[in-house]
Amino acid sequence: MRTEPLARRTLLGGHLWQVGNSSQGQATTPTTSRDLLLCVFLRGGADGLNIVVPHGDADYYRARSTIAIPQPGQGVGAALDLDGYFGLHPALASFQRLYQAKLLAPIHACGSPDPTHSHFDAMDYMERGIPGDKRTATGWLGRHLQLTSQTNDAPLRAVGMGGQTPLAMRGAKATAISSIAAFHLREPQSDQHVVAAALRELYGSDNLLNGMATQTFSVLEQIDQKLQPDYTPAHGAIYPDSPFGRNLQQIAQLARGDLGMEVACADIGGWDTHANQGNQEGEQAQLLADLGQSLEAFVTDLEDRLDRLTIVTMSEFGRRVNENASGGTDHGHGNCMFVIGGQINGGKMYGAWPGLQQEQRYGPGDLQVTTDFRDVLSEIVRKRLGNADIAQVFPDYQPHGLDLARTSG
Amino acid sequence: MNRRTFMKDTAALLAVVGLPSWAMEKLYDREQLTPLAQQLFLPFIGAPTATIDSAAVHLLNRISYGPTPDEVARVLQLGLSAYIEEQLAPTQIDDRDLAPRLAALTTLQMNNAELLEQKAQVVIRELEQATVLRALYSRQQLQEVLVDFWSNHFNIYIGKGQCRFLKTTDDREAIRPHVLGRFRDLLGASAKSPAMLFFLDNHLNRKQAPNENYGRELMELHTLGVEGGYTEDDVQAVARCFTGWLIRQGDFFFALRQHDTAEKTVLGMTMPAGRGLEDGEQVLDLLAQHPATAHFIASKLCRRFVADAPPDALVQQIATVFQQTDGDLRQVMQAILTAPEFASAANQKFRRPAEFAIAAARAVGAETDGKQLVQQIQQLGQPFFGEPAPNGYPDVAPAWLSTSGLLGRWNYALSLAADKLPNLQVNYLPALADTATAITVANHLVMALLPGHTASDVSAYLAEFLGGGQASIQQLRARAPVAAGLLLAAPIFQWH
Repeated sequence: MRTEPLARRTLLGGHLWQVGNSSQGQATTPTTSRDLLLCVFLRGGADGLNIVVPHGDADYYRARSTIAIPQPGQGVGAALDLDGYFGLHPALASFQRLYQAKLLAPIHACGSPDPTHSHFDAMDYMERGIPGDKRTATGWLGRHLQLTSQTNDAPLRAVGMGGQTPLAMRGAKATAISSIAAFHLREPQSDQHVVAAALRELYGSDNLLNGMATQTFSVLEQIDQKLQPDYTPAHGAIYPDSPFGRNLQQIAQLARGDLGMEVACADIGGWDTHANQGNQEGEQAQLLADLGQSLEAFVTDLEDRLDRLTIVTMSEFGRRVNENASGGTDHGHGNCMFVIGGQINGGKMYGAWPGLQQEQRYGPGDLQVTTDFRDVLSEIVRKRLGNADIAQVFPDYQPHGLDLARTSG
Repeated sequence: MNRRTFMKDTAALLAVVGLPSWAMEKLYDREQLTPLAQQLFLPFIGAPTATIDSAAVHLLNRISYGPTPDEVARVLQLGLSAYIEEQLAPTQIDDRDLAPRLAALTTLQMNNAELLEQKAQVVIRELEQATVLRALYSRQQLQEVLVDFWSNHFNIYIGKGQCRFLKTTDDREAIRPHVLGRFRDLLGASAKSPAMLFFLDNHLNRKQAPNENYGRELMELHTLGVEGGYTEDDVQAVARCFTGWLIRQGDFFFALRQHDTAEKTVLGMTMPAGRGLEDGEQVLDLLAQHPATAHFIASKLCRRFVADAPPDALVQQIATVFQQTDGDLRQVMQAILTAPEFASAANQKFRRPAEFAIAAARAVGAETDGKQLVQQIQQLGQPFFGEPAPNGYPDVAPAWLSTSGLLGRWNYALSLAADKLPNLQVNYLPALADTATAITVANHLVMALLPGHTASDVSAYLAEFLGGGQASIQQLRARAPVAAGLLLAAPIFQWH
């Protein structure tokens, strides 16, 4: 159990952060013993160097004459300090609050060891959890879910927000939801039964579509019968009116419905900032504001379940250390990740900093990777999702412990 | 059992049963045959018989946005190869009925400077409407399918900055004129298309510190493919070759002062110092002639027109045609469509959302200005020019098979067939005479919605759904649109 409820209360907007055993007696206790894991994918290769800013590294400022984030204390738009060497982009004030409440752990110089600078290969490798492998059909979450499926067969166990099933979840029964409000068979009540029965029958004879159709009907039943159609976020949480914000609110709605959801995926796109990336303001700042406000709303909304909630953010690669002539950054390598949750050893930086001097860079001039993304994910799988079979989730990989998460008692 | 063995088994079963559709009407007796229908006929859904009709249907499934009775008749009249030849020469096809439908969309004919003066929503809406109207009503169907293919290959997200205005000329001048022409011409038109210059940031690519976005995607996505053998050094060198390829007043403009004139080495080829536009042009030549490009384009076209995992031998053969013809896309398409691997690949492709929505609308004879379909296709998850990533929409079934995807298809199919979509009228169901029976209505629906399909099994199923021999005329009238919706929602309509 955590020991700083007061700090959280003041730092996270004055909400009462019910934690630990205080939530266990409530009727809304989740049905699974595992955390709800929210995986956020920043599509496009987010510029980690302007997200977790190495303001103590003079080479950072030498490499980025127009887009660097000023050192903390350098007026409006300066970096928000974390530990005296690293700071957050000013649009991530919410992350600074979470960090100070020891709920957020940034990992820097982190990512995939594969050298690709292709978005699509890099995303595939990360979602498969197997760098360099394009043949494995399953994703890392899919393998985890499959390995632990005997304990929970809820149709909404794994949910991806959007029209497509996330690659990371392939290999397990997974649900894609674009909109909960629209997830209904739009037939007159009188016809619904007969139409649904006919569709079941028709799809029963198609070996490739049958499984997904069955899953669709199971989810339809759950949403129709068990989920309140209207949702008011708890604890005064206010989600941004953005696709990402709306998706997180819907994930919270499903979590509150206690439908056995264990893993949810949500994407936030637009990070491929080759041009006009901006600094304190601009394109990336707007994306970060959306990311930070949405995740803070989500944490606030579910704050009574915080000890059963883990959030991880990732992106396929970081960006070039030097800015280009169009006020942007090209594809790079090392990046930052964030892990957030009630049982996370937050409030400190993780990962060895490789430096930004020419000889310290990777490939065409990128931040090195000193922490493999699988180290971060393995620790979550093992400690927060209760699955020790890491060799199956991340084949041929020997993870290094980071001690960034605690095991539930 | 995988899909292939499933198809084989069902084909064998059908050969044993061997019932023509007219025979079903006599045999059909709900009381006695329901269990038989359950056991025998249901598994057949999704597996057509191998007849001349089915070869025509297969061809139309792949080279059009869905068979219509007119086009099935045309294929049967001309024969497969003559029909393919006709579609490969689209300018010879009389398409005069299409023009009036597009007449009100005035931005389609504007130049870049004029487009930049318009409201972005209007420009986007008109291009989306035109795209759906052409897919629905043009008789140059292969041309439209290829425009979609190449628009995805050279994907431009219409939501990014000036792309909102400039995609219209990219569609009209870079993509459309070249989809059955030479690949090098298509590639060159795309490289100088202001929408592409904007989308991949090349309009900001200057010599002081090049922007790599276009140079990388040019090799990874437009030509060589990610395994095409280029290096990070090649990415940087290609980016330098395209410095100064900018946009001025909406048009392509080469700014020599922004061009890096130093020597460069691309894929082992030295580009001498002191040149201008030739640097980029030579890169395009090099890439268009590269064997990796032939292989990459061949594999993508075979994936689209044949199967998600096309046979290696076919891809190799098509790559050879590509190289031997100097990237003549007409000859490449002819080789694909006449290959035995094409003929034997019926019903293996899962219709993507837009293909499904348009095929269903063609099947019901939809009359529309297109706006409603644009919206429906967006809700189904594949808005036109709406993929933000430069690789375009995926072209394999697993990417599109999802719970919300299936549910969206069912809702769309049922609403469409029941004529519930606003600003769209369907035209597939005549007023039913009092003498109509379940089996005659079912046969009519199958003939109207699956033209050319010899699907006695489907008719039997629908007849049962309609109430079988006991159905009253009121019941038939009420149920017929629902049965039609089910047919469009069924697996048989998701595969093509």
